[in-house]
Amino acid sequence: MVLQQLANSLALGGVYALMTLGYSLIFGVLRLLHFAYGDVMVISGYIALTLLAASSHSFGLTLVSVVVIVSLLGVFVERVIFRPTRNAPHIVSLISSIGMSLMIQNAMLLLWGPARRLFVVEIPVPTMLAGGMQLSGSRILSIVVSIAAMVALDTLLRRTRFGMAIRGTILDPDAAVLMGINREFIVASTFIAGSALSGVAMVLLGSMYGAIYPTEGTAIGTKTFAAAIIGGLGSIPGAVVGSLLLAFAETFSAAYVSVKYKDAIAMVLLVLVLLIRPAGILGKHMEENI
Amino acid sequence: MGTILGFRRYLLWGALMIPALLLPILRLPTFIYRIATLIFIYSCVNTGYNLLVGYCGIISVAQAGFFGIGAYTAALMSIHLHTSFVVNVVAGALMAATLSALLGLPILRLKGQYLVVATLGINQVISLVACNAEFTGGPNGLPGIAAPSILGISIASPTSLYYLNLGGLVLVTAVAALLVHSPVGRSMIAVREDQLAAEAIGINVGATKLLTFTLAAAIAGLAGGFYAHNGLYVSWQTFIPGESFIMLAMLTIGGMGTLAGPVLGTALLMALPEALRSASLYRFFLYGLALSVVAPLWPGGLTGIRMKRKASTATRALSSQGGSAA
Repeated sequence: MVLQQLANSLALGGVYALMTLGYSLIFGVLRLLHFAYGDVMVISGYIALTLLAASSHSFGLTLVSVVVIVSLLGVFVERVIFRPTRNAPHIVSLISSIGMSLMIQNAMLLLWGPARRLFVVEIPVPTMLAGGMQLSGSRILSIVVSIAAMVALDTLLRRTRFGMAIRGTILDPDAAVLMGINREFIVASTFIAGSALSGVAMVLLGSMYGAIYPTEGTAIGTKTFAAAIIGGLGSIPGAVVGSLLLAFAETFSAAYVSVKYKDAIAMVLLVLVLLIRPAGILGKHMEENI
Repeated sequence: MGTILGFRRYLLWGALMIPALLLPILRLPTFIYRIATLIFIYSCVNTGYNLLVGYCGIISVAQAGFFGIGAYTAALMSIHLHTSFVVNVVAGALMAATLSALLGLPILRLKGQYLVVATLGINQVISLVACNAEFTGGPNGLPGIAAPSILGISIASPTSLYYLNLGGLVLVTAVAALLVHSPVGRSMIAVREDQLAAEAIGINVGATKLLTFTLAAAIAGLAGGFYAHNGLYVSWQTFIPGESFIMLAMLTIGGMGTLAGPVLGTALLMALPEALRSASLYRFFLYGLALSVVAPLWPGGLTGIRMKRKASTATRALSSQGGSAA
């Protein structure tokens, strides 16, 4: 039973880590909260499902189409919300992205209705039974794909000049510009990379739960903030640590305390970490002011 | 009071009050009075919210949660203890104030975006408890709240509820007006403009923030009591974090840091979808659109202060240089 829960939380933690990594990248270069992150992710899932309705639901095809759609939407959001408000007080982009979140969520409610929609994807991996544990194909896939995506991201950030430019911008945006880094290009491409990661997470999450619903973005958004902040906002290893911690807390509290308060426990964990260590577990202290 | 508020402003509010007082004489369709009553209630919530966001510069997104605490407190007291309207409303305000003070004490140490996320968490937990606990009636909510009565006079008709809630709004606005023109109000504004400078001239920044946070929650709780006794039913969906966002939209569009702003924004965002009946489906979509467009283009809203630009000239020069290279 404990082993089963551990395996489940590992799969969930992998998916959360992808979402949080994408979020942390975007926060890292912008230093701004992106409130519509989860909603962009969910609407991409809806759009892909609608477009693919007639064809087969192969995992690869769904993955590629969701990633493409979410990246396009990510660029759109960056252009419409974050670029015009870059130099304004933080509250302006905050309110603006909250507005975008409301807008996307209600567009989904209007277009697809409030009911849950089946997220049908053919999982190319069979369910495994080992040592009394049962691991569904989607969970195995989640673990494998999220590790692969993390390795890819790590290689990108550490081994390429482009990745170095991103890390430079995260560390010190002004110095990066002085070193000849094109900030607009870095911000836009980080938005694409971050959104693409969230797209992968969307497909994995959808195939794990088998359904999506229009207001899912709020839950995804708050969990992503929670994981990012628990680990340390803007920190890449912190995002992974925070996500795993959140997934463990959630899975074990659902199994041993109460399923109803599963989401509340994420929030309690978040508030506790914020109080004990405001910069997060692996985060460095940042001067924050609005 | 005339000298505190300035005679002209006093006159303006008085002029606004006359049509509000006379509206019931017109005997319009009942639903108009019901909408107006809801506008009064939400204007109260937003007036409190405005003290926090507009005057003190603290961005919290837990206002709908504290509104819910007040509503559920009043509802539970009315249902189980059969206490009177005034007692329930005051209890709702006190409960919200107590909880917010307890939560604010640790949480207000956080700044900016961290505080936003922490308050989001608080609101999420409040609505989760409301939706799942036994004593809140779970997802079914709480029906069976007694109609309000004051001094033995029962208030049940739409027009009398209209006047009752108008009275509530006048009371809350008067308190807010007195407050923002008092030394406490000036401390709040000083904290908003520059915390360091405020501290340097001897303002207790921590205490000012906590007081404003508690006061905003107390007003939300008070309005919650009015809400519970207006619809005679409360349900968790009214108090989800998304509702806090809508309140923030109302503030943004009405204008922050002015007394008229929250009332104007609330009235506009609540009346407009009703006026455009066919567009009511798109209501929240339009709220979102308004929010994401108004905030960047028109930071002051209809009446509000211009939030000062935080980025220094040097940073702006650098980022525009980066932009021109793109």
